[in-house]
Amino acid sequence: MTRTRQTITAVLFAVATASLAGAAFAADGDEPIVNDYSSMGAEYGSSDSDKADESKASVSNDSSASSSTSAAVEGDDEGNPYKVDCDGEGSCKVSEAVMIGYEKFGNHCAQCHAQNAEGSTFAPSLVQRLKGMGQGRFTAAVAGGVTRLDSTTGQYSVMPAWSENEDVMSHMQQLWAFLKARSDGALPAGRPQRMDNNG
Amino acid sequence: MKSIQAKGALRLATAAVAVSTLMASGIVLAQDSSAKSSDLVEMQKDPGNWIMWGGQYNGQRYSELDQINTENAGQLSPAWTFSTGVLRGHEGGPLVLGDTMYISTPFPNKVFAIDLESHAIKWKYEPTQNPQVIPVMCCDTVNRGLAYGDGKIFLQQADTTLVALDQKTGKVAWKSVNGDPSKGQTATNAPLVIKDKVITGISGGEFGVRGYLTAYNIDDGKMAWRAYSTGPDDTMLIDPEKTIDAVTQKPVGKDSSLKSWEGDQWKIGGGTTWGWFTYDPELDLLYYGTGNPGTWNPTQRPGDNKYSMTIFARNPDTGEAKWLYQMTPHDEWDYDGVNEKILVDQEIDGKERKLVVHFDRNGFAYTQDRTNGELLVAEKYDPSVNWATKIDMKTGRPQMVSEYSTEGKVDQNVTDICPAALGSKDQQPASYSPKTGLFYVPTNHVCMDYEPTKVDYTAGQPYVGATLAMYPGPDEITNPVKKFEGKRMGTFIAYDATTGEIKWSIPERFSVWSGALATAGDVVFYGTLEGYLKAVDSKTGEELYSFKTPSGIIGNVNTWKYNGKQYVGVLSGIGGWAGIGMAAGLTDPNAGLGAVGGYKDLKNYTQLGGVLTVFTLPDSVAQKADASSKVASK
Repeated sequence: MTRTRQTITAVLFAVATASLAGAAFAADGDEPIVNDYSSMGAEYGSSDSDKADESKASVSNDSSASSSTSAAVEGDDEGNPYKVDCDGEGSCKVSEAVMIGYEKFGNHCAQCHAQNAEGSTFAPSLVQRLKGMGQGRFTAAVAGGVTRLDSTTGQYSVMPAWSENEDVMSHMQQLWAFLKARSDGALPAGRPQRMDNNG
Repeated sequence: MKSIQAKGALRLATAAVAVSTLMASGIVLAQDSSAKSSDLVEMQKDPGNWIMWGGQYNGQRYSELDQINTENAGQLSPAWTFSTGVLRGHEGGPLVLGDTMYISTPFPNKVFAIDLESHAIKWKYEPTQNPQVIPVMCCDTVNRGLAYGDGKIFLQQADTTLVALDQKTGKVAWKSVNGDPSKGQTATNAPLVIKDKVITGISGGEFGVRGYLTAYNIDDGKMAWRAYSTGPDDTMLIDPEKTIDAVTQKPVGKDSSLKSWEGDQWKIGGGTTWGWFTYDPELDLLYYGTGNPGTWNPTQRPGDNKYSMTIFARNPDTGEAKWLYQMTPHDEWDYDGVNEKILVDQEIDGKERKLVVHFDRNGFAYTQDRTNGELLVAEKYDPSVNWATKIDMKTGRPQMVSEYSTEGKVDQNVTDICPAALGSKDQQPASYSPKTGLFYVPTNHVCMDYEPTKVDYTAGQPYVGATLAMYPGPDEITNPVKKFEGKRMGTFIAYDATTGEIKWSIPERFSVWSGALATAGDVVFYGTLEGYLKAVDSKTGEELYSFKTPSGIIGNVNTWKYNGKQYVGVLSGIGGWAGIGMAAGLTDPNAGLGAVGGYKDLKNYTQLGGVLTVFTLPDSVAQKADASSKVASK
């Protein structure tokens, strides 16, 4: 009896949190969160194997083309928020935004999402999660946090809210740039190098 | 119902504050070191039980049981299994008392009492905890197991609540709140019962928590004492005139911690206490270590940052510090000093010594006199350790290599530091066999690049300040028992703490993150991240038995006897820090960005899932072993 009630309370709590988050995302016009646990613990690591990264690394963005974007973070000509230039050996030079994003990610996010954003046994691979996720939804999730109860396992996944953390909030663009580059397959795992002229 | 519980918790918290105020104002509470768990001192001698994390107070993780021996270990097989229903990393191991086994799980910290005859659940306890505690735990929501004493089972919950459960019914006897998760304080450690007190620690070294060790009265859960790791002497229960500095063998003097910090930084100074605790009933001293200081960016916190990274010997009744020694002053690499302090009696230079031996995250194994902390031996237990050349035995300080220092290098990437922040060994406890005089040590063989960055402190938020990349260490290995192709990340070693020699090494593909077990049958057990439970010969390291359990092993292997048979049990369930470091695969810098070296990811070997697997011998083999050991003893 008691146990049932606790479970219900927990579920209600999760639903309430999810719907709150949903409201925030709705303003962005993005899809509501579709619970995908494929990379949230039940099957960690998912499909972001290094082979896939390697093959995609050759599709690097051409940084020699001058960019004239007016956004706070300079991207490439195809509207991406990042510039990545990899040589054949897999050594990559990246724009200032990606570099800062890499550093801030290492400082605040890698404890759970792992050094290459490929996830851990207790946090999802962002390389996977960002596929098809808009920047609005990403920003809302980082700022507001996410609490989910997986009904099949009865276990929680919790992303903390970062809205009070100045260092995270003032670098949302750079975090997005780095993670988008990782998720798009433009930037392979590992520490990138700064572009010489920060193009 | 929920609000009633909350009120109860609040009342307890208030009581704890009241007690601490009393203590601070100098009123000494009456000490009742009654016989409460002198029965534990007796009970631990029965090898049929496994009643505390280390088997016995000395933390040796050694069993007198010898039914399973080097001759018959190859005939081991699983006897029964039990799924915990929890997917995250399962550290710690089963306790066994009489006909009942007790196990705990990661968050939500379920406790199961299992009947050894029927394998049915006698009782189950599952606390209600706010899930917001989950992201405040730095490296997965592990729990390192339970403690027993005075007819109660003690659980240290993730949200810092210490719970006493009736051993027979699982009913809550009392709960005591030890910290505040909204300030980054959480818990993962196994408590330890000493006499009429329950000792417990606190986690949150990556959240700027000021660490402390706390003792609660076993009867009612009221706080008896609390000893902080940093700050004014009285809050650390350090007597400046009496507490001995192990290196000088003289009292530490006034304000020894405060002088080692700039300004108020000791208030977010770290030194958390999430490791294992041991106890010497004769000397009446409790041993434990403290974790990393504040931020991982050393430039931001000048000074030695005392007493982070320190081994303490304390009086368990009063908490007063008898002696202390800081392994890594002014840490620059996150080499927490919390690893288990194993108490052994061995001969050094022809003299029988009471020793404490500990395998530090920093890659050095320390052998000290446990009566006064005198430093006797300090040697690398992985040949690739490079951040320091040696420990200066006069000053007790490491002789550092400037190339691998991260001090004054904000936003610079310092490369090829060995070991990685994971340490040459993390929490996975080693074992010791008095028969061979050797320690059996599960180790990591992982190196790192470390880039410190400036970080600001916000209560309840991660306070890290470094970006790390970790990868397998170099190929060098001391006295390997077999060859290993490709890059390895772990080694299981036999180590002589009287000389500092590595006697043999078993190369392992991944970090060995499981607690080891040594037995009188000359069989040593450990688990691997792929999920293998392995039995090896304690003298040669030769593999005798191997079985692939359902998931990777980060738990401790324990043993007990029931109905005349020796059993060996271990929890599988990949996760913990090993789960983050390995799940996505580590990057080998020599192979270029995006490539990995010649090894496959852990995820190709195992998946999540908490399962207990219990092993034993076939009846006929067990009977034969008992018969021949009887003959031998005659």
